[in-house]
Amino acid sequence: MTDQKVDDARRLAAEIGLENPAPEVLEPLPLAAATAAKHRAALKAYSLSLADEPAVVFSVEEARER
Amino acid sequence: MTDLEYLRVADAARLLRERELSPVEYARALIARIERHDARINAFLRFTPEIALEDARRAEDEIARGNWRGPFHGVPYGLKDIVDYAGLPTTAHSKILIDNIAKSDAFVTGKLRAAGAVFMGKLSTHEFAFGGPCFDLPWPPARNPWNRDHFCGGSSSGSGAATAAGFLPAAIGSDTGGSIRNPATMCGVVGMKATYGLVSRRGVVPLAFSLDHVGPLTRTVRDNALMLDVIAGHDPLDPGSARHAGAGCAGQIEAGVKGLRIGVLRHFYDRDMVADPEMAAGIEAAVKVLQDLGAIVREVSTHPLSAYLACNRIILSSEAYAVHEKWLRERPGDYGARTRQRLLPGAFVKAADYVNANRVRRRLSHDFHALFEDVDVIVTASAMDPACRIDDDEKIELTYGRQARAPFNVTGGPALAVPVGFSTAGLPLGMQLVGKPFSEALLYRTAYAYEQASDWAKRRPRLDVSPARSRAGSSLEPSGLLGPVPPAMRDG
Repeated sequence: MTDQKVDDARRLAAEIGLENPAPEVLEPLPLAAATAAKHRAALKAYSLSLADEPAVVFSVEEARER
Repeated sequence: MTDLEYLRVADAARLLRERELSPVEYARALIARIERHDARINAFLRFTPEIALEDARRAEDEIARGNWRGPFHGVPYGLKDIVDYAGLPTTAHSKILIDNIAKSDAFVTGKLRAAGAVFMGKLSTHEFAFGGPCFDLPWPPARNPWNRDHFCGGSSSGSGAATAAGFLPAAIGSDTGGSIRNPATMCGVVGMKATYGLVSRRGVVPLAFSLDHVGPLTRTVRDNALMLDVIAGHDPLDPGSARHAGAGCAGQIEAGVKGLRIGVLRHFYDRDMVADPEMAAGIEAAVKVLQDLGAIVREVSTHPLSAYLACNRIILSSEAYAVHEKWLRERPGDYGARTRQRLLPGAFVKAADYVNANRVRRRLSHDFHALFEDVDVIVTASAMDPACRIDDDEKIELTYGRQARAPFNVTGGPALAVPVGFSTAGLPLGMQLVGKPFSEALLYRTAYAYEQASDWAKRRPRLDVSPARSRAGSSLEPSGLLGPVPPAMRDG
């Protein structure tokens, strides 16, 4: 990696709370960030209303059963 | 007794029950085949012939005393190596878990043990059911028995390869974004992702809690139904387990499709993504067969495929990163490079994205399930393309996106991958049958009618053909490009 790419990768590492990441983790970070951005953008194309509740919700019944 | 390697579970069950076949003889035939061919297919991570013979002797003794337990009594099977078998390592095909000895059986292992099935070993997977075929792990990736230079799909790669190669009549896989149905399609076998919660995930290494499913891969539809009937059932120790009695699928399989309403979800593979022409033609031909058998066929449409895939990817990457964050920080070098690359995007997904993906999931699921007011079964693509070469990194990466399987991990309903023929290069083609939650019996009934009207389940890969004598696309000799292939571990 060039110095610029290393700097970019370190900035991304800081963004996700990784301190002194190993080179194996540092190197794939730019592509990982780009992949996540692509997926997030695809999801944002979908408009939601206030009535759209998530599929995964807290349930008192279920919590009590555990 | 001949051809035990390709014996169907349904036929084996009859022969074993009537004592025309010995479970020991059956196990020995498959052990010999695995010993002869698996060094070039790599379906097994841990081959356990001694356990198999012990199970087979026990089955033989029980059946001789009149205690036949059911259709899997004395029948060999394998487990994807993310599924626990007490006393053996569950490695997830990873250095991270290489010393992870299972303390107890997974729920499905316990079910198969109670059914008297014969355990043959642990099967290859993509690392943590996510990575893809990697050459930097402690074991090599499984190869496609129809052409070992090609990818065999994944992540339940060993399960698909072992059933197609005649090593096992049935195997257990898992599916979070299509990992049972992908190897089923790539290897020309049948793979069921049942309704979320129908099969317990207890004792199975998680990838993404809300998308993970466990299910069977077999060579025939009836065998698949028989295995699902064994492993389904409520498990109070799996928080996602459905309060559902079981599957009860095999008994209804011969009811036919006359009058059944079949919807073809064509825009997934001819507009949202454009499938390989041979794959699309195979699906269309299968639909025509179902129509000729008396099904009422119409086209259906739903949200674009991209919406389902984005929803699956955000949820999957978030949940998978939650599972792997600690190891990625502490032992990054112990993952394969491809697995690290696939896990790390989860670090960049924000909490709001995850919540919104789950809001979208609910809307997509509601709208998709509403289609079943007008149709009983939906047909669509599984993979968009036949298996690519295993050493073609670019195409391997593309193959994960070029699929229509992940939508049904999002909706949670059942989806069955069924072979529909072969490409001109000799590689399997497949379709997917999709139903409303807990309609597995109807999917098997539809797939069985199609299977009976076609001959794909009778074809076998030719494991002994050398490249010089084989036609293009059926070579099973080492290519020499990918280095030596270490043998699977052997266990007592």
